[in-house]
Amino acid sequence: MQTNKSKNNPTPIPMNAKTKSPGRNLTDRRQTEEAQNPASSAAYARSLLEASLDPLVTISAEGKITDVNEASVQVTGMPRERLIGTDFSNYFTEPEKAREGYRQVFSEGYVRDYPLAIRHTSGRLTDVLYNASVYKDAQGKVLGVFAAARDITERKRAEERIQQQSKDIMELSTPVMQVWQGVVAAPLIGSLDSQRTQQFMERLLNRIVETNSPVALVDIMGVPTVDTQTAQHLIETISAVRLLGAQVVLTGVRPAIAQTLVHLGVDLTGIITRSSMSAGLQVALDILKLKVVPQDGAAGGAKT
Amino acid sequence: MNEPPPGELPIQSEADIVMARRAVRNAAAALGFGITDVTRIVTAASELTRNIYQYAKSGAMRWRCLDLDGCVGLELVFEDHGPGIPDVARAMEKGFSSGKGLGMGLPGAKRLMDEMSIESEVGKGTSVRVRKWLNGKMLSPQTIEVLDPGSVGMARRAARALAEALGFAPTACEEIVLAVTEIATNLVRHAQGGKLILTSLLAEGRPGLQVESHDEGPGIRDVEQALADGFSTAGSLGAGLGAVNRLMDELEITSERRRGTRIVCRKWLRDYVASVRACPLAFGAATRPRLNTDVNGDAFVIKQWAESALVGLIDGLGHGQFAHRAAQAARQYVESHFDLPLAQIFRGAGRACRATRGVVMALARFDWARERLVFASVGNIEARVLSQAEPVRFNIRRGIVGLNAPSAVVTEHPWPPGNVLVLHSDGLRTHWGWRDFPGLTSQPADVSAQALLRALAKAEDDATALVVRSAIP
Amino acid sequence: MPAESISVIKLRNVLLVTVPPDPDDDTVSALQEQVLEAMARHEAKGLVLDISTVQILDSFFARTIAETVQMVALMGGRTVLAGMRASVAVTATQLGLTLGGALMALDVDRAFDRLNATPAGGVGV
Repeated sequence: MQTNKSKNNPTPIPMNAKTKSPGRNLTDRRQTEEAQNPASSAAYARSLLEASLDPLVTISAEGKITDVNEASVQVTGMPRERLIGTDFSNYFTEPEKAREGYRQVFSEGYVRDYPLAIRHTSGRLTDVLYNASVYKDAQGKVLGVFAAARDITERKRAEERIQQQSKDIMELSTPVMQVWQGVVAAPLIGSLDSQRTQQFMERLLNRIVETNSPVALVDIMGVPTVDTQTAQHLIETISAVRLLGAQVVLTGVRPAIAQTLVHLGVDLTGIITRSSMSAGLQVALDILKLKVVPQDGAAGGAKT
Repeated sequence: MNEPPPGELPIQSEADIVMARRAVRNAAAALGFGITDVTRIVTAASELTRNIYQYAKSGAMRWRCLDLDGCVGLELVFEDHGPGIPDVARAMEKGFSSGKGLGMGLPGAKRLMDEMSIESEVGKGTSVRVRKWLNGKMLSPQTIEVLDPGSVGMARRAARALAEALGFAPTACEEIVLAVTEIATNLVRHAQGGKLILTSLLAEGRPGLQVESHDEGPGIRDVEQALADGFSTAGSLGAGLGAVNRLMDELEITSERRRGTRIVCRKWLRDYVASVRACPLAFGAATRPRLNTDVNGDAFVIKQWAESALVGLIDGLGHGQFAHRAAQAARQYVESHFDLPLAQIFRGAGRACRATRGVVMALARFDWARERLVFASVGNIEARVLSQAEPVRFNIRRGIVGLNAPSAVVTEHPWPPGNVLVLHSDGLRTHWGWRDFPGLTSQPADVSAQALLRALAKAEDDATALVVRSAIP
Repeated sequence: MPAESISVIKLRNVLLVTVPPDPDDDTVSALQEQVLEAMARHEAKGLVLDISTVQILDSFFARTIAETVQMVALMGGRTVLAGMRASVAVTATQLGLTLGGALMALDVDRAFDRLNATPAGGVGV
């Protein structure tokens, strides 16, 4: 990369960390090459940079773009002249994050795999990871930052697909099982949005009717957060179960959830809650007037 | 699943309530709704039919199937010529009155259905329209809690799904997704999370998508300033709102320090069918930058669609690079929001120009099928009409768009064939009369525009002339 | 349209009424009258409303049930609604319908159990 001495006079920034910047090596190599054959080695270096598929950019100490390669032009949709001299953070969806990365390069000497998203003028976004380092002139004066972006759009898309799939898996996993005559149990896992709760409610009610079960154990140990909406949904479900003539025992109420529910001012009067499903099962047995008795007929008919 | 035909049922007695339930049940079941949804729809119909009978004594229920690009739904309309509802908002809040109260109908029905809209006039009557969609989740309002970066992805996906379901073109879908990304990211970064609500809209037969965001964050000190692109001070909202203004058709922001922010933006489907009639107007434009300058601080827009056309003349303040940037910002906004009401275009363009020097701008929309001209202008763009009938008077406001301009005043005028509109920037002298340019009524519009430019342009400024006249047969 | 005739059966001091699937307003009102009349005639201690075939429970029906429950209570009896359908329960919850303090039971059998239990004996459901 030609250093645009005519365009900028970068003020040197004190560096307190040792650098492993590849930029330094490039400068060293260039020094030897230039000494041997100035014109062709510069052209050679330039052609390499233009051939790179990764968007490359140099940024001055003031944060202005001093040079770009063709790939940068492609990914931003802006012609070279329009890019040079402008603030580099303009072209990201999170300019402040970009600036933070830039600051890090100066303080650490480099930054690796820094995630950002570049915005094309058409609006198209490209997710990238940045490797960037400071670069210096032959005297060792810091001229600016040299940054290379790696396109990870495909990878991101794959990640999103996986996330969507696990979301789908979660949706499938709200079974309602009959655990005993008269008792159904439903462990809820994952967050409860309106639609999921709707589906769950219908499934739970149908099962209760099918199995003629007066007690439904609903376990929320696997529900990460309970906000007002989730609490509303739960209350709706419990009311609907009551209309059938059955009763809900809410289990898996962790201390944090209990706190949240009280703070939210959610009215849980009339709803039986227990901290664990096994405790809930005990309540179910009480309601059904059932007792678990050891087989060898030990005295007392101890409840389990 | 077969689509049942549309139908209508008069409601005149209590017995008709049962008939209504049966008709709706058949339609809903035929469309393929599940048992629970059928129950909901029929119950809502029972409530609303009963309302008609109780309040108006007679009316009608109509139903029809909806098909919005693969999304199938059922629409029911309940109409009566009864006393009307004086305060619809309050009627909706009334909720379930205890005992004898008859307030259950509307709010209850709204909860059971996906969409409800009410039109009512005291003394004239009431019309309630409700809809339920087969893919209920798709088109009913979705609320997304945005609390962490992961939810931004969720919001994007939901927005894309809804935009595609509504039939937005791929580019428009991307624009919506981008706007949602900006808004959601802002929620996470500046407001410690908030709610995003996506709603499908239907206005005058045109589908649209609404994105609403609510947060209880620190608020935005100066909303209009925040809409200017560029680096807001660290920690303040705003990077991205300028983009939202450009990407969406309408944008409203209300914010209070430490009380939170509410953002509502909408985008409408643009699906224009070319008219069978040929546009009877001809447009001509001529422009050149200030002498010895390569960038032009003037810009113009000519857009045609359906049975309308929009012309706009924009002059960036001063000349050179910055005037050019300002004019382009305004032009791009007008080009991408051309079919919005003029007042809205001015507002949006003003926001788009906030970070620039500002522009003066005149917009003229010709609804040529109705032979009407709608006009608004802020600043010193010269606008004259050679009128065949009465003189046309415009209400031009002084000010600079992008710099606290006053709201543009929009006026409407008849536009009979034979009228000519001339717009020019202040790069042309204003000292001229119609007699100086007899060719305006006989020559093609672009020839006239060139003639005006040649005769009147000043060397020291960018100059642009626009001519609109009836097309020469 | 004449109201569908509602049959009211007496079983050991308890009245059993089977509600038809989609009763019109007249039928619902007639139901209330017949129930009260039967309560008086038989001095029943309770009423079981079998709603297992009811497909639509709208606000009018719910209100009538709520009134009936109160009236039966005034006449010294308790009411149990038996066999509500899942789809009706979902809709009723969304509508926010209350049923005037009626007791609920999964089916007619359990409804009778509820009524025959002594009032003091804490019944779980």
